[in-house]
Amino acid sequence: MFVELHLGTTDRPVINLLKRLGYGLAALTVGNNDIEEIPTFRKLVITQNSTWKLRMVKNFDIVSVIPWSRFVLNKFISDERIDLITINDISKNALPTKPQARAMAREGKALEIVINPIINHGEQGLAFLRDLINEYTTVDELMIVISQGINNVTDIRNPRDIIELIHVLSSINAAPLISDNPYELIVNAMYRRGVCT
Amino acid sequence: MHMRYVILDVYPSDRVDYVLAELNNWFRLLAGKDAIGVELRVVKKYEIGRVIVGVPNPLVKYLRSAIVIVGRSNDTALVTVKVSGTMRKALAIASSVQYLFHEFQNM
Repeated sequence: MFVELHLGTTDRPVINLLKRLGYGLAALTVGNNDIEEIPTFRKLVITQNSTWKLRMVKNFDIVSVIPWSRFVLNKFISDERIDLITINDISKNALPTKPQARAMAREGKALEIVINPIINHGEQGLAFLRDLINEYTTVDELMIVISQGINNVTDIRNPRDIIELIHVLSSINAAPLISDNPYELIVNAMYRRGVCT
Repeated sequence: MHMRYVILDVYPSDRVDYVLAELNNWFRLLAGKDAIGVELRVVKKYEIGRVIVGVPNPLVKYLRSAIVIVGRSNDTALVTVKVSGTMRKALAIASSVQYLFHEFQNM
């Protein structure tokens, strides 16, 4: 079963197509949580202009932050409300350093790579994606998840093809990154919020 | 050489030729010297927006990777339906499995 952690649409045909491709869970980055086809969770994405939304964490199942500098990243790594750090652009300025990545692993924060906006940059994006995966898979215990970043039908690709692409780029088995890891992340986030107590 | 057959669905349906040209470019770029002397073979095109592409077994990973990359610049969706080891099976699957984008056709 595949898991998409960055779904930006509730369009029914899109959800049906995801289901046909083997997706069984998704995290929605938009409101409107009335999807019945697959279980969905609500994801809060914090960006530079929306830090005020951190006050609303109670209404969401998972919380991610797109870092805009390494300094703010330090603050978010130790913030208990954050579940994952999201990378969705090819800017290297806000990428976690190796010590920061180790701290993330220690604090139980996952690293999410949203591949669609990265691959849209063509060859440059592919090189960036390869470097990113090679760099962070060497950090012990750091959980990495890969999301497609789906906003409409043209963003959808077969997750099995994505596994092949990651394998071609960096020779690692990406299957857990798009299935088991995001699944585990959602379960951990639910425990952390006390849903299962 | 042993071949694999990739069944691809393309949306909108009229972009199949564009997709095949782009796929060929990216496939060659990713496969590098492995692709010398190799051609992607179009086994059959279906009007609905489906195509079967034949590729030597060791290079199928490059074709699948290219599928993830292609179509982004002009809003084209392409999704692998199935990869099959024999042409007969690929043709059977292609003519029996519902077009993946059927729900988008009348929108």
